[in-house]
Amino acid sequence: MPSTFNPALPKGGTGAVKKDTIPIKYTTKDFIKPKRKTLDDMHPKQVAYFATSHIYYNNSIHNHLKWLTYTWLNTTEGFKGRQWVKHGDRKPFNPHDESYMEEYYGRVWFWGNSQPIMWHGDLTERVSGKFGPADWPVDVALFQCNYLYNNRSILHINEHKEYYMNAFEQCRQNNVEPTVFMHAERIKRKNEIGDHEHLGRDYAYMRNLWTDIANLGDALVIPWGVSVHNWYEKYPEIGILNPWCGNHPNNLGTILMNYTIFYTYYRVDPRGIDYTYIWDDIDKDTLLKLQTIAKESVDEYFA
Amino acid sequence: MTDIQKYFNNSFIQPKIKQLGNKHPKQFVFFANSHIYYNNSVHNHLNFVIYSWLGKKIKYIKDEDKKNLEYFINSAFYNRQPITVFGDITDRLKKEFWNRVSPIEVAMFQCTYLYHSTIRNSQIQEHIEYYTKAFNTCRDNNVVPTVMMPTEKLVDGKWVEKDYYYLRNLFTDIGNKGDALVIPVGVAYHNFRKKYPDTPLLNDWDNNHPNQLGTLLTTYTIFSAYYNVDPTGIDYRYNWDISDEQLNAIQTEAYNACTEYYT
Repeated sequence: MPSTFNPALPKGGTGAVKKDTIPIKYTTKDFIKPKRKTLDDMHPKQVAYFATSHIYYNNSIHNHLKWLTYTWLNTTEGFKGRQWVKHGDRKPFNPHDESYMEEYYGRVWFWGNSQPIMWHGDLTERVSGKFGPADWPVDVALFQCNYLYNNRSILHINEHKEYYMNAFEQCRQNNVEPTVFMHAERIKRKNEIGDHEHLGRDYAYMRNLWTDIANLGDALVIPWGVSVHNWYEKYPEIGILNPWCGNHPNNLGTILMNYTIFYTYYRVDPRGIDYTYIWDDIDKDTLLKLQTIAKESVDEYFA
Repeated sequence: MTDIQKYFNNSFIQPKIKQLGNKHPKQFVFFANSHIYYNNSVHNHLNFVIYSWLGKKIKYIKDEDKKNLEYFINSAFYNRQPITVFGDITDRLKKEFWNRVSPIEVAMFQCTYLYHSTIRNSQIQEHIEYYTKAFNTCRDNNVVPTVMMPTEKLVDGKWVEKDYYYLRNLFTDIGNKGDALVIPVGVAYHNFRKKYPDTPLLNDWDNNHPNQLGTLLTTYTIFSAYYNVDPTGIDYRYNWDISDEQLNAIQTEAYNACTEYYT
């Protein structure tokens, strides 16, 4: 029987966006400036993710950030910890040992299918360190949700802001630093009909919206949206989002996202770190492009 | 008290529940971990397989209309944590929680926590109690509970054969104690790698999570278990470079695993 597979949906179906649904203060190209610019002197090791498919696609950013961090640390003098090994032995890590806990680790709480961030409810237990086998405390929480991309009324935004503020507060009560993920504008989907004039507006909307949310709660923004925007400005012929949904990252996009988070958290120049997961088709030149855009975008955003 | 050793017998416990009856489920919820969300998530792939099987197209729709999709799989994921982390699932079995128009019909529970060398009898007992309670909560909400049987790992280049018996018997016992349908993904993997030892189903860097073929095998096994339909001939392989022969092998082993397990 013939395939009717259309992988664009149901996850990608955001439909047209009406211009007049974007609150006016978020349409300005004179972007709102972030208040919080770094994690200060923090060197996070244990990260809790409250996130959606944008993070877990391509085998999950929580893995990639950890492995990228280990790859970087193994280039530093004196580090004798865990290594990311593409093919082969990963000892001393023992997946059968339940008491084992990695020094750098991501704990994930994902949901699918466009649920709002409020789905996670009370976070107290999940940021308390309770869920780590070795009871390591969580250092940083990352909040990622694209619900406000598709639901732009002031009512929705205010409701979410209230939740974010409450969540950030719960983080701080548990000595966890809250960070929030700026979404990216989507690209035209394969076979999609339409002029897509809204896409340029989406960038301003999302950059301003997530900066505003973070500023209200004194949280650090991960400027993924800036990285995507800058990438397509510079390399429009190289896709980093899946063409069938225009919205989730492909392998290159996941790598770009990974380096964007890494540089935002650690402020270590990512250029020269040799991490591309098992995707051997990413050549050194492309990797350098990804690392450079990640660094420049973060620098631009926090300048 | 559960005796862990009884699960290592190579005589298999027989499943009590062998199908979803006459049910043709359309609305699902998955409580699962990375074995499901790797490779862009089985819940998406299952949805696409169903639509391919029915010859229907999923059209571009507005976000506010997604709640009307006839077939849909909602999902909640975590990593490393036991299934018990979900606690009381009552709210998550209701259509309102997921903003769906139609009620949830089937829940799938997937967890690999009991697959550790250090697992003790008390932990198995705790999990069986949780599963049984969760299954009963499902039935109280008119949701049919199902549970996924995991697959054994590859350690130092060799499949841990004894783990196959452990996992098959353990999860059959969990299903039987709570009158839940077991999805024999572990059987499908075991039989596939016996027949095609040179075709890996797991990522070679961890020998634990599925690669793309493995994700499709999981998807088609769930599909066969739910609908009791032979999937061979359904032309769904996502956007991956998978040959017709590989796809046919995956579909055949998925269906045969269900036939073997439920017979």
